[in-house]
Amino acid sequence: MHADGLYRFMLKKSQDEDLAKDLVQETFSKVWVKRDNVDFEKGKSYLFSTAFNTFIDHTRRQSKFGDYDEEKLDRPQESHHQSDLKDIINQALMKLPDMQKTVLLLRDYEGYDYAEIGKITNLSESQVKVYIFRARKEMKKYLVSIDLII
Amino acid sequence: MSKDQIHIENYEAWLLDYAEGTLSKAKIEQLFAFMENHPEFRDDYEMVFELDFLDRILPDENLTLDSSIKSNLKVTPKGEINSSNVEDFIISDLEGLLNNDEKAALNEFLLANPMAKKDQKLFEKTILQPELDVIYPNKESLKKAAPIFFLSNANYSRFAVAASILLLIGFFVFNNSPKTEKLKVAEVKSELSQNNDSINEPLESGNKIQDDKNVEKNQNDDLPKEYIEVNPKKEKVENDGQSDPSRSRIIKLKIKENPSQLFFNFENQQIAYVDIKPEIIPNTDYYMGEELAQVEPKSNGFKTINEVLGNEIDRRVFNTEESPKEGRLVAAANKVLGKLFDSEIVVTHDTISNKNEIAAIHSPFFDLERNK
Repeated sequence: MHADGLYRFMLKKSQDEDLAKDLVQETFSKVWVKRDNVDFEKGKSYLFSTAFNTFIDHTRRQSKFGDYDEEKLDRPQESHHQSDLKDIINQALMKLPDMQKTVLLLRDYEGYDYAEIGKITNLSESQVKVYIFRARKEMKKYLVSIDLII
Repeated sequence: MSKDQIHIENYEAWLLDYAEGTLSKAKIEQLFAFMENHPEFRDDYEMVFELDFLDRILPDENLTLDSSIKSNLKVTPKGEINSSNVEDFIISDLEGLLNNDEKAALNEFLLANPMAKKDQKLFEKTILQPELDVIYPNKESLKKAAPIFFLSNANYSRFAVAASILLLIGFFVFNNSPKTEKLKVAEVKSELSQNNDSINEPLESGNKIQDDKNVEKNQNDDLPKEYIEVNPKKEKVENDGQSDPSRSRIIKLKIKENPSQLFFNFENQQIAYVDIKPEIIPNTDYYMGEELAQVEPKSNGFKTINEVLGNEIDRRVFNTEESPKEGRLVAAANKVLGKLFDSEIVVTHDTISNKNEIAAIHSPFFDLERNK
């Protein structure tokens, strides 16, 4: 039911289609195991919480074994079509630190409020808000810089 | 290092205390001095002091940041709109945090300030639109996700580690039977820590285990009968006990990555160290055994986890009642569990009672050995 949203979330975070598919499947597997303990009404939130933690686990593992390209996640995708606003927005998003990116995706893609995002990401509501404000300012700054170039 | 002195191991907790307004004036001075001396942690400071900034611009002087958080985050910018705070107002507007009066004031300001109006247009573009054409390609596979996932080669090692941890947890659970039925603790000689990942390895004659009954008679009555003693490696003591034929096997498990959960008994209580990050369940209470985090040495002379892993594990961070912040709990849990990476768990199996129990945990940082 939430596979598409979860996939988009993972894809934005990982920038890797195959990895995003794997992580979605792993997330569903974990939730399936815990299905008896999950409140149906909180199912989606639990799914995203598990996805978030699955992604963190993955990056930790990759980092531990030395094949995690940290720059890959922070590096904006090179594009020859910078005039495309969608690409520019995507580049701005990719430049954000991972946590800012996460809270912004949960906010805009999924429409979660600060409290829900806080539960998913283990942040306080206040931290979520600060991250969102900071993320939007950073993205706007990037848009200004691109605007000046163009 | 004292918990009353700020240092690189505890400055984050001090920052959180500062944000919550619970840091004393003397400690605030220490914190500021630390920040001057350690600019490398600037990102962490900014997080807290941005919160502080938001708190200060609240119009109600009696409304502290802490109470504002409790009142559903009313930390939106207030007061007169000017060029230095207009971005916060614009974002607040996009986030739906402004009331009608504030919206009207913002619109009035934007009409009079074309540059700010341009900024508003740019901020509107920062609202991400989901790419609905991007869909998960094989939803049917999710209905049978578990077996497919576990059987894939790419995830085999992950599964193996997870299975090891589950086995380990199982052994600890086994160990939680009534005291009278439990095996008495035994000391495991150092030969057991030789590198061998095999399971069900027979107990060799060189691996001697002290006779439980003899030991029990010599035990101090005040000592708990069921405990895991914590010894730093340098204080590890060899023990030439006699082998116990009832213990037929030594099972070794290797923790190859940080465990997500680890249970064991301590002083007749089951203590659960829980790393809540990988599997956080919303609205669930997590318990950390503060007995192992106590600052004062135990009266029986045995070392606590706190003493071995570093005395910077503040008692508070283990106590969810005093410190409900999950972030701290995670930090503390990670601090403990992180030390268990690459550890070896030695499990004895008693053929008479058909029960398993942890005999030792050999970590690169410390040894836990069931003793006497």
